[in-house]
Amino acid sequence: MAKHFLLCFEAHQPHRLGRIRFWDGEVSFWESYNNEVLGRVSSKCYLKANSMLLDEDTLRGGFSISGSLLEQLEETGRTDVLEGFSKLFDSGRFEPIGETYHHSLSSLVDSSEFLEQVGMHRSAVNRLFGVTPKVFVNTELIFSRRIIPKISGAGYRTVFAEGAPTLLRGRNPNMVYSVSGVRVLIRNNALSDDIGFRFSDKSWSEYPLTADKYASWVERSPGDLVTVYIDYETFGEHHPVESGVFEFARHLGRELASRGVKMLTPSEAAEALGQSGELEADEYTSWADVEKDLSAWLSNEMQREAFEAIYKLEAPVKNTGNPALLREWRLLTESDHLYYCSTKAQSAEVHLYFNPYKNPYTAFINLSNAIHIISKKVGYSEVKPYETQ
Amino acid sequence: MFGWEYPPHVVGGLGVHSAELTRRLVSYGVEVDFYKPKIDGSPTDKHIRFMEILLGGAVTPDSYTLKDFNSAVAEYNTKLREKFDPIGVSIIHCHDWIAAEAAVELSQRHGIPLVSTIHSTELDRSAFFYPQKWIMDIERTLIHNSTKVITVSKHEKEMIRRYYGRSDIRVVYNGFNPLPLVKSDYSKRNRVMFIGRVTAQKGPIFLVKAAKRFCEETGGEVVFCGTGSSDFEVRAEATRLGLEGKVRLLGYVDNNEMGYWLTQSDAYVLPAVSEPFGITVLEAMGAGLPAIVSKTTGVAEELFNVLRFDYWDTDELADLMIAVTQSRGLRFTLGLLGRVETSKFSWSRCAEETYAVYKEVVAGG
Repeated sequence: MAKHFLLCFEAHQPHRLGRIRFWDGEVSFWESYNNEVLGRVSSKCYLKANSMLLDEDTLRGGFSISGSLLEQLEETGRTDVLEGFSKLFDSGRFEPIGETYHHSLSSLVDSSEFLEQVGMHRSAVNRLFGVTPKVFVNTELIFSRRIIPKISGAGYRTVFAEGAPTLLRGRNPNMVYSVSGVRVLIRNNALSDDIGFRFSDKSWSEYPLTADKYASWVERSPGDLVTVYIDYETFGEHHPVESGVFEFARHLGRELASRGVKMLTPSEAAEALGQSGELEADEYTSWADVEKDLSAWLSNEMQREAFEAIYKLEAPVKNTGNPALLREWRLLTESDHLYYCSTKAQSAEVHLYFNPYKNPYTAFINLSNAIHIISKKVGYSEVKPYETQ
Repeated sequence: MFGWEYPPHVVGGLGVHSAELTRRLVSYGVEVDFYKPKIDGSPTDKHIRFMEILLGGAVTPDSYTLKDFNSAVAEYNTKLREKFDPIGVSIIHCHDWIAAEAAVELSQRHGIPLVSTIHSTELDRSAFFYPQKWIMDIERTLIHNSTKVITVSKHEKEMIRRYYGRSDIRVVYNGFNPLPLVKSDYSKRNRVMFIGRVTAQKGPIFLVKAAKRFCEETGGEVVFCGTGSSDFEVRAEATRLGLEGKVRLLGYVDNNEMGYWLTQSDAYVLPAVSEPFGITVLEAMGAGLPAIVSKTTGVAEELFNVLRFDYWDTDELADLMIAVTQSRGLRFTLGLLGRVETSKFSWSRCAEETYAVYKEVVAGG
C-alpha cells in the first residue's frame, strides 16, 4: 500500500492573441482579457491557495509555474502573488519544478529552443525565488523516450510523465520508473482527476469528496508513491471556493498522516524511492484529453501547419539578433495557441472552456496572421507561414 | 396546403420545400390537397392531389407564363376562396404570404386550424430597404391568425418576434439535397465564390467591398454565380474600386458550371443582410467547400464549422477570405468537418418536425 504522496501544481497563463488582421503591422495581444483572467485567478485562486498552503504546515509538494505566468505577474504588479510563491518555497515544504519558459512544444522540435527555454525558466525561478528547480516537467506532461536526451541535456535527472496506458502498458502507476537513466515520476490520473475534474461534479457517485475518503483511497493504492499533478487553478477557478476544494486540501495532509502516508516534495520523492524498471516510452504521451497524446495540439491540418510555420521562423528570427522580435516569436510558441485550434470539441467541452475565442477557426486565423506578420518582419519570404504553392 | 410554385417549375426554395415535405408527409399517412396557381407547366409528381387554379389576366393564355405578379396574387387569392374544398380538411397549411389572405379567411369561415410556415418576410427580401407595407400587413395577418407558426431558423423566429410581435414560434430547419460532387483537392485556387440571386438581401455589395483588400493582399478573385436586381450596382462598385477582372459576374450558370466553380474555389461566401435559412450554404458545404457566412444567415446558427461575420464588417470578411485562400490547413479542416456537419439537416427531419406540429394542432394543442 502506498506510503508516499506527491502533490504538484501547474500554474500557467498564456498571452492570448488579439483579433489580428493579415495586413496588420504588429502582433497584438488581447491585453484586456489577459489582464482580466490574471486578476481573477490571482484573487480567487493564487492568493488564497498560496496562503492556505503556507498556513497548513502538514502539506508538501511541488509547483511548475510557467515563465509566461511569472512575467505577466511581474508586469501587472502582482507582487502579492509572487511573494506568496516565494514564502512557500522558503518554507522548504514546496519546491519549484522546471519547465519550458513559455509552456511550449519546443521539446518536439529538432532545435536548441527547448534548451534555451528551459534555461530561461530556471533563471527566472532562481531570480525571483532564490531556488533552483531539481526536477522537470515538460509542457502538459508531454513525454517520450525521444525527449529524454534533451531533458538530461538541460541538466535534469527526474521528470514527470502521465500514467497513460500506452506508457505503462499495464504496469502500476504508483511506482518510480526510469527511461535512459532518467527517473520518471508517474502521474496517477484517476486520483488527479478526482480532484481536478470531478471534485465539484454533483452527478459523480463519490460526490462530495472528503479529505478523509480521498486519503483512504491513497492509502489503499498499491505501490510506493501516489503522484497527483493538477492545475493550480483547480482552487477557486475550475472549482469555486463554495465547492469546498480549499477545505479539502486543508485537511488532506492530516488525513494522509493519520493513515501513515507521508507527503513528499518532488526531489524527496526522487531521492527516497527506488526505481522499478525501465519504461519503453516509444510513443508520445501527455495528460491532455482522453487520448493522452499530442492530439490536443497537433491533430488537425491547421494545427500542424501553424506548428511547422512557427518553428520554421526560429532560425530567421534568431538571426536578426533583435531581442524584441525574438520575444514576440517566443510568445507564439506557447502551446495554448495550438490548443485553441483543436477541432475535437464540436460543442462546448473542455477545449472550448479554455478557448477564449470559443471557436478553433478564429484562433487559427489570429495565430496564422501573427505568424505572417513575424515572417514579414524578418523578410522571410522563402518559406511562407502558409503553404507555398 | 397552399403554395405558389412546385417542381419542376421552380424559382426558389419554396417549391423544393413543398415537394420534399409533401413526399414525406404522405408516407406518414397525411393526405394532401396542394393548391397552387397554374403558371408555366404543371407538377409531374403523383403522390398528392394538385388543385391548380387557372388564372385569367395575370398569365398569357396557352403558355401560362406569368405576366404580372401582383395581379396574379390577387387573382389567386380570389379564386382560392371559390375553389377551396373544405370537406375532410383538418389543417390548412399556408407557405409565406402569397396565399395568406385566402388562407386566413377560409380558416375562419370553415373553422379549420391554420398552420403557416414563414420561409422569409418582406423585411428579409428587401434587406430592410423600403419594404412594401401592404405585404408586411398581409404577413402580420397570417402570423396572428395561425394556430401555429413555423419558421426555418431561430434568426427568422426573432425577426417575427421583433417586427410582427408574435413569439410562440416553432423552428423547423430546412433539409437539403447534396450536390452530386465533392471537392477533394484543396490546393490553392486563390478564388472565392458567391452563389445565388444577386439581390440586396444577399449582401453582394459587401463582398465587393471586401474584395478590394482581398485582391490587393492575395491577387485573388471573386466570382459571382447568379443574377439579380443588384447586378448593376455590384458591377459599378467593382469598377469604382478598380476591381474589373478581379470581381467577375458570370450571370446565370447551369449546374455543371456551378459545380466547376465549387471545386475551383477556396470558399463560398454569403454576406446576406438577412437570410432566413440559406440552402446554398449547405449545398456548398455538403460539396466540401469552406463557407464564410454572415451571422444573419439562419442556417449558420446551427453550424460550428463555418466562418461567421457581421455582414457589414467588410474588414473581417476580407480577413476571413484571405485566411482561407492562404491556408490549406484551414480549407481542408473546414471542408472536411463542414461536410460531415451538414448531415444534421435533412428533409426527413424537416418533415417529421412539421408532422409533429400537425399532430399537436389536430389534438387541439
